Amino acid sequence: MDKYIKNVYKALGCSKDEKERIIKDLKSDIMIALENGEKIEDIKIRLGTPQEYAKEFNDNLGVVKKSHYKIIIGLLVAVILVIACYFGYRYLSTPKTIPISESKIFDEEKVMSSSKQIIELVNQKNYQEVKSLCSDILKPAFNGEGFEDALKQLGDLGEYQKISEYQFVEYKDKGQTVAVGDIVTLYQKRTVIYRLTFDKDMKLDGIYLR
Amino acid sequence: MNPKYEGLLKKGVLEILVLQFLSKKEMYGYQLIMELKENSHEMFAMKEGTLYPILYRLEDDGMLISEWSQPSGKEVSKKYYKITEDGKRTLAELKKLWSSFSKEVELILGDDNYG
Repeated sequence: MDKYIKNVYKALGCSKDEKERIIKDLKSDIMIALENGEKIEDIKIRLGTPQEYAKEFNDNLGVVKKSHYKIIIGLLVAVILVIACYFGYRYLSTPKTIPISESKIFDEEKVMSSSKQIIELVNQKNYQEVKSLCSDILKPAFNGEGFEDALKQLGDLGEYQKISEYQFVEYKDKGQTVAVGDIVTLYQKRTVIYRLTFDKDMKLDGIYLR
Repeated sequence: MNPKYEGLLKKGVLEILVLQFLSKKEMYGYQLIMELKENSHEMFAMKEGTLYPILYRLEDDGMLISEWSQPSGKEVSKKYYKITEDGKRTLAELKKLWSSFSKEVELILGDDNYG
């Protein structure tokens, strides 16, 4: 009978105080039944299985059974995980842009001096030198002649004068961080905008003129 | 009969029945179960899991008080439930309510015969 009582206790879903109240009454009822001459086997049949006995209490005390409770908690955790994964994915996959002055990776002055250096080399048509400043990714794709052709499509620029304005940002996308910016340069006959990209090692990762 | 609807219908009167029984004499749980069963042609044969939560609620609400008996000799200690003054008042009110309640329900249900 001790095992029966123990199993009832386990199957009850209410508070500890309430459980002890129920068990105390159960023990007393069993003693009374025995005193009245009922046999243990008959008592067990009358009371039902420990689970049935406890379920009746759980239903009438309005408690959620432990196992249901666990399923609900499990479902909640799963839902939260899915939401967290979704936002985590969004966070990682959404490009993030911050002004270069706030960047912890890039130094604004270094970015500007490298940009100036590249623009000067382009003006000198020293493409070999530009290539030497390229990252390993850009290097194979960069060739002086191709670049020269692209430059020609902008028409006759006239003589280089100065940089009129520039704006650089740190750009983070899919785990890669680069500094990218537009430099507006004035030539005698027209304005050219250089879009330059640098990787973390300050190697040139992209160059685009318009 | 759908046991769910049967159970729901009976549930509403269990408190009144328990209070009524205990207004006659103090009783312990097991005894109440037996008396309810015998006095209602088994209509209100209740399981422990149904009766005890009712007793707990009534006790917590101050309608009943319980006391463990001091057993003499080999006897087992029993928890006796006793109705309080509050419980008696509530029982009187519930009985009045039941009277008009059952009349109204009868009236509506009896409509079948005349309709």
